[in-house]
Amino acid sequence: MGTGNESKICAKKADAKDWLAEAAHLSVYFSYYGELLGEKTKRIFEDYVANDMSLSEIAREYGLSRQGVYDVVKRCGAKLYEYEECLHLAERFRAMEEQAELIRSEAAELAKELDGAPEGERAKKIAQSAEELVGSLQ
Amino acid sequence: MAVKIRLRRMGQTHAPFYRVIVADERSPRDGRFIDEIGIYDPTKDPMEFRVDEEAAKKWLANGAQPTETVARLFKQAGIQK
Repeated sequence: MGTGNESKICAKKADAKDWLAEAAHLSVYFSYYGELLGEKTKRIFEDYVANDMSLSEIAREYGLSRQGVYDVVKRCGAKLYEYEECLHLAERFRAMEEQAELIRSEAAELAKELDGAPEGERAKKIAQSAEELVGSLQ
Repeated sequence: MAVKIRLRRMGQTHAPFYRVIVADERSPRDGRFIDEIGIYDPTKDPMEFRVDEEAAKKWLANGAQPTETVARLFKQAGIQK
């Protein structure tokens, strides 16, 4: 049964301009939600997106038809989009990362400005914490 | 033994980053590769694709088959046999 997201999925490497952009999204979504896919479909999707294998190569490897592999990839892609639409984990993480980076650079600047001033030590500690926060997100 | 030029995903969970590698077609995911000839970072805007052109041409001339994705990236970068 279709999820409605399937029309969004290009899933064809031959249409590379769209595929490259899409693969970048799918790759990130897969990192978050890949574990929610079935064991075999997860491996197939990973081979297609992360290991850059072709549909034919995967079909040969798993003893499936090329069309069968294509269906799996398309279905998995649609599911990943659906999970992201419901949970927004990737989007939230990206926003959090941007905010943390903003805080890090502001805090570093403030610590530099206040160097030698009475609040200098405190500003330095905050800058250090912000640095660690950004580091932990990477 | 057929040799392929393909991408391999590296990088962090939320930041995909690929290496352009030359490997035996039978070992797409066991980590072994013959040569590493470039990188592809789709998270940059515009995307970053850097490849050792000489090495790429050498492998292509020697019969290495690029995957569909790599072939398109090569084409965008103006790399031909």
